[in-house]
Amino acid sequence: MVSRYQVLEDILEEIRGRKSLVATALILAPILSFLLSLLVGRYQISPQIVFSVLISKILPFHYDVPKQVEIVIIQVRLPRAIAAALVGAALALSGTSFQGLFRNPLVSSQILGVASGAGFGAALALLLSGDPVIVQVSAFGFGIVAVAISYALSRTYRETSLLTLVLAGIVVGALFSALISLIKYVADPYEKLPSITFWLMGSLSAVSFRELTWNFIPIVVPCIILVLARWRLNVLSLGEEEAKALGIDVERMRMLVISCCTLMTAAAVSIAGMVGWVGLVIPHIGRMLVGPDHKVLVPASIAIGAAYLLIVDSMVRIVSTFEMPLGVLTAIIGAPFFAYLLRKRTVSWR
Amino acid sequence: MRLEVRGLHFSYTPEREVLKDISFDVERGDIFCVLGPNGCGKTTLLKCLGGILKPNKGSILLDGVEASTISRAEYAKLVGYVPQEHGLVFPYKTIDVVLMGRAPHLGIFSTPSEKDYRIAEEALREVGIYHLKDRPYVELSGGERQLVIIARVLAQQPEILLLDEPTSHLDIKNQMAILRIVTKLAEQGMTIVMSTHFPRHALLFSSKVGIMVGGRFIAIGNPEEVVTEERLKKAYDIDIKILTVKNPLGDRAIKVCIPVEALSGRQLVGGAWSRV
Repeated sequence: MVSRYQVLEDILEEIRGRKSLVATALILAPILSFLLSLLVGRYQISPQIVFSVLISKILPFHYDVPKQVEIVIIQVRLPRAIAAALVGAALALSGTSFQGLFRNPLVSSQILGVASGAGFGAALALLLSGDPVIVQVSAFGFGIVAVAISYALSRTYRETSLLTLVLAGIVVGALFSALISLIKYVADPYEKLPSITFWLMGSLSAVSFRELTWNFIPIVVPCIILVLARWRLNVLSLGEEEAKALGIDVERMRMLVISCCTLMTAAAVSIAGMVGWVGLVIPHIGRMLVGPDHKVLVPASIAIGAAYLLIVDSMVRIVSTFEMPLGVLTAIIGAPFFAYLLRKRTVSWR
Repeated sequence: MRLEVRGLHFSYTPEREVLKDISFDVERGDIFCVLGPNGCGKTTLLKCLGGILKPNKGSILLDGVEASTISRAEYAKLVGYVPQEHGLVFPYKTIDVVLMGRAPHLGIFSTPSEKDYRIAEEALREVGIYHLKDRPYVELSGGERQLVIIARVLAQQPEILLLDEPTSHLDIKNQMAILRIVTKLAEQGMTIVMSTHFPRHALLFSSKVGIMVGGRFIAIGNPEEVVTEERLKKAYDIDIKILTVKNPLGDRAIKVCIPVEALSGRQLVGGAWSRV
């Protein structure tokens, strides 16, 4: 066994050594998976037609296809692919940022209760109205409320300690999970319960451009801020005292990172429902490929996260005739993979 | 840069005051050594000086400027702090750890430039571990890690350097390596405040010594005058003998401090202490 691991580690070492190769792969992966995700689906359309239709939208030439085909490509697959890329990038980036901020490689984007809060918001809206717009707004809003409660709880003393913050996040997460169960319990088992359950399992099948336009800004703006401030995450990961001694306003920097991650995750959850494991596993894959320096790790996480969710969402559509819930598949792939990383001890931290 | 501390008080909880009315001056190029037993408040004092803890009362003046009026980033350009323990979670490369010393000089949205890399590499050369540049910090030995952290604080380019027991956990060779660097920095004009558990380091390397007991200085001044057998007994609550040894390399005699117990002729024989 040891020798097999050694071989794998040697291969990884080799890959890490070829920086330009890794960089090229990280740029190509999301692009290729994006194109792949446009090609797959129950409605068979040849790649040639898909790309011709797409190009005809950008360049001024006319390409004649049945209206139905054009709708599938432009109104269904394109927004879905963009959503998968955005959600994957957002979850992976907030996972990476939180792991750096909390100095703990086992936390994910959900550590402060944002997903449970958003799940509760969505379940409540589904119970009371069922209107997709209200569901999204409610999910987004409650996601932020959950984190705000966690943060407020941890601020009882003069300043926030990270440990209290994590514990507060666990408490708030548990509370909102219980409230989700309560809503499921009181929901009408024939009409409401299935829609709530399905929403919570996560899916991108109903994404349209309208939802994307709303969620574009709360994902892209924090993403840009975190990419620009990424080197500070290195300093922040030294811990409060050392970061302070290096001239960083730790309290403010933490607020900034938490706000950015919360906005991104709340928006991602309100688009796609509960999609677990991306925010936990992708940062580790990133570290395996490019090392722990956030200067490189942050862009790498974005690329890998986007590619990963694009591929999983394509698989959702390929593996069976019915659509498997996205959150289920990310967990089915993510959990064993993470277990494998743990066994191999390539999940490096001290 | 001149460091003045006036009437400093600090407490973590209202019931127990950890620092009581601390006052002292350190001039440019001075090495001020703080001696004292575990828990006397040395680390707390250094954290207050480093701007990590906020004193309840009193003032810290840098060249006459009140420290609390200086912004955190500006403060870090003037005062560097080497903590006693540094916990790194992620296996950063040594050069990346040293680069973090550039943080106070960089804006929130910037990443280190070529110039910052050069400064970090220069800092590694200065402490003599340039060859460890690309090794992961977590794989280094205790002595090498301490040198990396000192390189980091050099990359920070402060005028005042605070070191919290920089020589603990290190073997004799590494202790001397660290103290040699500290002495060199003081000669270059840096103001140095360090805590230590070794009275002989204070006697050998410092220009000023303070003995701290229970959050208070019982004596501050010239090492020769301050470090006496009575004061060490008061501080550590055991009998200590100060012996003068002829220096084989020069005229100046070296003073060493030894617990009297070690001099009383008892030896470890067959696993038990016995009188010889």
